[in-house]
Amino acid sequence: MEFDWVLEEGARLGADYVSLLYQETVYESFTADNRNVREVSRRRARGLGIQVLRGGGLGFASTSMLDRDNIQRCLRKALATASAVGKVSETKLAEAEPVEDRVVSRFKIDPLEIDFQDKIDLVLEANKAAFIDPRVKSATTRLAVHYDRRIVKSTEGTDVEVRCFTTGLSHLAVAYEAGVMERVPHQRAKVAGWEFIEEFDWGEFTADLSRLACKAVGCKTPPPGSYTVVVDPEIIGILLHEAFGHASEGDLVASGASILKGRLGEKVASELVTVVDEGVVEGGYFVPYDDEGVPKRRTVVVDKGVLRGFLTSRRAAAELGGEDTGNGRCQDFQNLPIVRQTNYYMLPGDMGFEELLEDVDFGIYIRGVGATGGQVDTGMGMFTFSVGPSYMVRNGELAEMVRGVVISGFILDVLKEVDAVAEDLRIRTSVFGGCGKDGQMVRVGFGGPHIRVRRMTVGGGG
Amino acid sequence: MEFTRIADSLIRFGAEDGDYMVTRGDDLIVDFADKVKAIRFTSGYRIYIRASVGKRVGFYTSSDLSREGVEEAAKTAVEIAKVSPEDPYWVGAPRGLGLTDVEGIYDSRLAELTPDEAIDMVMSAIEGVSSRPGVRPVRGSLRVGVREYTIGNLNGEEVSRRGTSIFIYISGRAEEPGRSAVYTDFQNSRSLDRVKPYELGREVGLKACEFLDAKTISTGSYDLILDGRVAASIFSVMLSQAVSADAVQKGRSPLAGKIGCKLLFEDVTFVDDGTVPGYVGSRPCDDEGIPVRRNVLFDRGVLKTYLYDTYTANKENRRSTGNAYRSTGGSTAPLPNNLILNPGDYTLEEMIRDTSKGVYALKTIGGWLSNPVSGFLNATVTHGYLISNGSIVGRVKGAVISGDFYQLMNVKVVGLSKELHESMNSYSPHVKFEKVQLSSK
Repeated sequence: MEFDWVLEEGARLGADYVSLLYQETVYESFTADNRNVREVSRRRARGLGIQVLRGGGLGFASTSMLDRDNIQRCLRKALATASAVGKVSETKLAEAEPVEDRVVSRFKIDPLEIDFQDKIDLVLEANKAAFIDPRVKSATTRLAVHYDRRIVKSTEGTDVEVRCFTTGLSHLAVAYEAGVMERVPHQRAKVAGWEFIEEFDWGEFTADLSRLACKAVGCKTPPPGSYTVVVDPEIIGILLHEAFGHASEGDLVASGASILKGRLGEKVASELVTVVDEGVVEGGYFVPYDDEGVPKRRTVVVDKGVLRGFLTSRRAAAELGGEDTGNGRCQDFQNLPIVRQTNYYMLPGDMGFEELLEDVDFGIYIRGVGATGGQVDTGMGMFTFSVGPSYMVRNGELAEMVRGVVISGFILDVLKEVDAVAEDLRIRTSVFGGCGKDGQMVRVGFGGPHIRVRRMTVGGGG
Repeated sequence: MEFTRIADSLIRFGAEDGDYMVTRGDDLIVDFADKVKAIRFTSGYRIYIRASVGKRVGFYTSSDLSREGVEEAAKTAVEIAKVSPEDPYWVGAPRGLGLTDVEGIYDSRLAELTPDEAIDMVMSAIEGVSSRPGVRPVRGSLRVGVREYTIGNLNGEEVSRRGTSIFIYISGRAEEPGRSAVYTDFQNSRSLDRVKPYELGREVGLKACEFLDAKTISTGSYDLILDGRVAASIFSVMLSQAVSADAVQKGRSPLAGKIGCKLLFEDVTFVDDGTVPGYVGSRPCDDEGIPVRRNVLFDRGVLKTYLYDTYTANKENRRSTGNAYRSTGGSTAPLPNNLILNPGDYTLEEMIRDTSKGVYALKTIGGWLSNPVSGFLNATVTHGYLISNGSIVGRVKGAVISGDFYQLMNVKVVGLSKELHESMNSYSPHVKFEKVQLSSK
């Protein structure tokens, strides 16, 4: 795609800066429901987003119609909005070294080259394998392949292209027993080609989830209250991402919408806690460059309990006065980059999982398989998560399974209560969803080791 | 917009039946905090195709409406259909497309709103927040959308609908030495004159200050008043899927097999109504081109019907209720157009006055994490009022509401207020429950 003329035309029409994001994406999805194929779909999108600075104002317009006339109209709209904004406020962008690069995520077999028939067969077999018990009332299995190609170009000379394949399978098991219904959703995905799908036993994966749902449906929920909890890598990942990651996003810090504003250098967690955001890491999503063409390397957010940095885009870095950490990301060509996490995770410690349990007389081991997500209020500093079937811990040992566990708490309290960090580390991403902010969804990775939190509010029931 | 050429292409490539939807979306978005940060214009088409060959069905969606793009979409959809296994429940694409007369869903002033006018609205909201000393706006967005939909089938039927929307939200942060609070509120409408940015901002400023002294409460049993917006959002999470015939047929709804059963309190009547003038989910036809209508879901606590699209209706040999939504993948599933809990007789003041120990929950997070399959409800109160002996005595944060939704709505509801409040396409009065377990630190 040749869009250099747009940059030149933008400059000729009076823009001080023009940046383009061209995106092409293909998403294939194969859904099997209760032993039948329910939906085979492919969706394709491409388009161009144009960002301009003129007279201090930031303007943006996008189009999916890529003929010259429509792009010209789009550019003029971006310039008009920039002029309107420039009358009431000034936007600055932090300096960024222009980069030229072409990067492709690691893959062996292009998943878009695999026949539809093979994909249909795979998802149907995986779905059928889930019906191992009469209590399994419903099972939905989905296979997805995502190809995303982004090219960022600017009048400053940046010209970066990133191509990425992600593949994965999700499954929802619903079990019913004695008037109680329990659902266990889970997924496995990787930045990889079709080889990831081939190398994994998906029938075993769905059968395992059925076993978990059947076991959980007969379990009780823990009485609401305050507990010592041991947290598995999936939950610590989502907990960090939601409860702390969003609050460390520089745009929210700069505007005052984050509870972490003004706390750089302060102790915000126990000294066992170190948290980083890193663009390329095993198991995570692939962000070698952000959508402003800035390299995304490792950013240390919390170092041994002390808040050391925030995540920034070019706009947020200019507002906060720090360096651009390469976290300016957008959902697609229809959106402006805003500060987003990439792969946000806690570094491992040196304890074994058993050692984490040893000191717990009465608590809960909360697990991520079957979790349905979380939400946070970064301004009030509060979070809540629904976790999967979990285990009570009594006298240092795992005891009975419990279901319907919801955890809740205050961001600045919870990480201070971490008193043990295990040596294991697991990072995961998804091809089915991602993280939402300001109406934009982006793919992220998250994870960490097993950790123990001395006190956390647990609301269970139903 | 007319797109019968899509049907022509589909037939040429071998489709025997099928339908399509083409959407055109234009959005004007202003991002702001204490000043305007950026304005965005986005514009684009999306094509959704469902094609069948015998009982084999394929789906394809694309953003490319060029001649070649449409040809590729039609060709691929048919190719997918040919390799898909037979779907024993596939009867055919919808027939009998048409439109219900629905007012107040398109406002030409919104469709023609200029960037300068949008900025004026945002500046009013910012001024509203800042009118309160010690509070400043920290986050906000104004989004104006114009949508046109054209829906057609291989039988030559085609209908179109259009609509406008405006959504503005703003967060204000109050700060005093050693403490701070943030409050967020929004307005959502189909027409320009129902949005009052300054009043919205002023209310946000007042509330942010008010919640500076919010405290946690002890775990225990409280009477609970859910603000209408909180209740509407919870009902949307707990019932939208549960009343969908898609979830019922897949064994994924707690309401399966319970038509005619009294499941909720006798004052509780829920309806789905896509014809109410100006409501967020109102539309002349659904995403299959079937005219929308009013469906009574629960009549005085008794479950009356589920909601159907053509596919789920065909499975039960009945007619669609006009509730199809098309997924990003291209298939359809039934969901409420507007989910409405009919109001009651109380005022909010009366509800508070009759409470000896309770919490009035104004804002919650995490309600969407509730489990509509098991009926387990969960939400964390971020902003609430503590009620003692009929009066508000303090501000509350961080209390977790959890329990069995159907039990709450059956034996714990004690009153509904007179007026409706909205959360997207869900509408509810304030709802009061007695003796609900709230947990906190």
